[in-house]
Amino acid sequence: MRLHEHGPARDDATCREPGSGADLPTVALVGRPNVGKSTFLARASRRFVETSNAPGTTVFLERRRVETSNGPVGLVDLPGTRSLDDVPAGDSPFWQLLLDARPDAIVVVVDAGDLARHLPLVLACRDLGLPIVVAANLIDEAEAQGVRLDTGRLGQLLVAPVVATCGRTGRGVAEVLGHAAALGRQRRAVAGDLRSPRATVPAPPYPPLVEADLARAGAELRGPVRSLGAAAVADPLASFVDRGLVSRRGAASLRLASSLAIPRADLAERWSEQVERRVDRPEPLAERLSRIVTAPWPGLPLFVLATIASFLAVIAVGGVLSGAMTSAWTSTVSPALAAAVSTLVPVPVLARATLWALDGGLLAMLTVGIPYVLTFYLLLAALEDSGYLTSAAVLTDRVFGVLGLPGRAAIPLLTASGCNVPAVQGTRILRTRRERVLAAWLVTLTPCSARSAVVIAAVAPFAGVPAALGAFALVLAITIVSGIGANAVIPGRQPSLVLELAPLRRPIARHVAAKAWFRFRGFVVTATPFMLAGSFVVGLAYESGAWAPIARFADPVVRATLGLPAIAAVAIVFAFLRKELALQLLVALAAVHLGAGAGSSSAALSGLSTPSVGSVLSAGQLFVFAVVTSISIPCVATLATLRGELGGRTAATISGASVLLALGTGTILARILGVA
Amino acid sequence: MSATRPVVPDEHAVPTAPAGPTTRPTLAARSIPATLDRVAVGAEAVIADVVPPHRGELAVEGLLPGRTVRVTGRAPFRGPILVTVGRARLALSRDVAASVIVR
Repeated sequence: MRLHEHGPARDDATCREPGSGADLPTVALVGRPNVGKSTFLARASRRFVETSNAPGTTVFLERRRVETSNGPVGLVDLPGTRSLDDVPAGDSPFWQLLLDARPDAIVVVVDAGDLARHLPLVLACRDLGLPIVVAANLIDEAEAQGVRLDTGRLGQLLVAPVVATCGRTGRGVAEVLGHAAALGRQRRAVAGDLRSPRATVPAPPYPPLVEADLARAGAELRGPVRSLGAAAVADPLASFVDRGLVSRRGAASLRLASSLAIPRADLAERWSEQVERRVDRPEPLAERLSRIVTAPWPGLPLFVLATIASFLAVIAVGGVLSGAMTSAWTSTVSPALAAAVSTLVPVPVLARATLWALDGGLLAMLTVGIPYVLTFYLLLAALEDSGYLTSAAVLTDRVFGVLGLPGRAAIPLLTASGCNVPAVQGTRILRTRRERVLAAWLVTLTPCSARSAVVIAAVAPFAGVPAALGAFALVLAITIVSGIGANAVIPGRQPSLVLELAPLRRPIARHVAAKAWFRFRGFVVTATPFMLAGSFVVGLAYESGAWAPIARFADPVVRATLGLPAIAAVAIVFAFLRKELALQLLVALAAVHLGAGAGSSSAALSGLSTPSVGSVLSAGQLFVFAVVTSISIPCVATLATLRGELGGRTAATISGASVLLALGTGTILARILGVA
Repeated sequence: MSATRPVVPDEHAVPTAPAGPTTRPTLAARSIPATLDRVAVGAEAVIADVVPPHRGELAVEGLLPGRTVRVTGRAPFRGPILVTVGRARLALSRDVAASVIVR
């Protein structure tokens, strides 16, 4: 039900669902981060959907039809914001996003326990001249802290309905929506097509000097708007006024936002003192926990434990599930598929290539996708929703600062050692595009489970376990150095940290599951076609023998630089399509190419016959092969994910850089080991 | 901006400590303007001013002239400092904290 997408270019027509719901009053949902807005929304619309507000992605605004006691409304969720000037994603400020949604009423969700901080946003929304309803949310937490709220009095001060709500239990949610629906509908009925917002708010709340400034700024907007078309186009605020989306005073309040900060904060503090009574209570457990996890002791050891535990949990759960699925698949699906394909596809080469895709490719998706990726997404969602990631970010800020990353990047980076694809998607939890690019670069250099298997299987039997560990250490060192290098090269710097620490909260299982599922679906949709197509291409090239001429052509170059036979290069290139097959491909290609006693090439593929690898490549060559395979170009599914998350150019740059890095490392390594 | 920013003195009168030497021992001896990053853990300070460019960002978080902040901790390796202002707990990196002048 994704209805419209907001880019820099705005077309009013895209803001309306054609046909159904176009005449429904629109209610926008606004609130600071961590105020429980998504829980509130889930309660309001009876289902959970993640709002995609990761930096570097387009913000989608979904308009959902919701029934209220005063008829249906179209509910639009907006990303969490601290002020109307914040830039949540992309490059348009929050107020532009809000006005583009053409709201007839705004529901402002605030923390009932901390009105002084949340009321400024309410005042800013109220200044726009649109009807507002205030949801004093998290009332359960506030009451646990000993806060009593006079919502009636606050309503009088704000000249707007104020309702105490709790998203978790649903208390007050329907009442808020009912108020919003009534206000939105009235506004539509009275204003008709013009829908001009109220020009002034009753009882101007600010000191006279501020009000005078607002009036003056409003009047200045008027001039060019009416007389000169060209000038009006240049000023988005004026055009919003002209289209009746915001009152003149509202536009002035947006323009003077910085000088309104103090009057609003003062008002918020005075009013919150009037409407709340605080009873001293012992510090709630959640806040005590939150303090503990952000203190260096025991927070730092806890963080190390938490990361290692997450890592091990994903590996363990993933490993068990993956093994079970593989055996189930090979015993039931594989034979059936083989029979079906051989009857349906008459050309033997094509049939075998199709099997590569359907049998091998689907199996790879199934055994990586569900066990590792879904497990990781569940864990990540739980950690995010509990608020622990934020605490971890504070604690490890300086450690990861060396790489230009905040502490919360630890989780996706660790995941990368399972599978790069979810790790790249996991970079969404970072706040700026620069951080995401830096993290994605490190992710693609981190050996995933498939690449680790290649390193272990290629090095350990012939050069010993210490050499295999050495290969890992080398890759790790290269990754860290590359990260520091990229941090120095990519323009910009890590933003200074100003972060609100929410108390730890128990994650809601249903929301965690929904969030994980939402992301998992994205993974499946992105990766599956590439996995299938990649497997098919590898299969076709292998089965038809098309790789042989390529190998002959590449042979002298690869020998001179990496000190490897050309078949190794072919294996590395094909590993782009199926990374975990790199070593098996090398064995199989070697068997065919050198005629090294492998009667059937597919036998060499299915069971890795280690002695033959040793007869084709020396231990030193295998070491180079393992390191180059590990560093070079991410697999095709990762590439597709990079493209989807960060754009084609960034994906190409990261891949190109990794190829150069791998070739450079391989060339130097070959000289050191004396194989070239 | 300063021209259009009306300061209403009365609003600040209650929480603000009177100008002049304060009674806080950690800050009393300082003659240079004290900044938030130098306030000891556990101590309170009253914000005198916030230097751009973080002024707007900090105002949104409630760090405004006249407000009392309490430093509750410091992250290791010269990491962010943790402060409480009103009901909220905030983490500020050192450079941001250094832009908050306290008295």
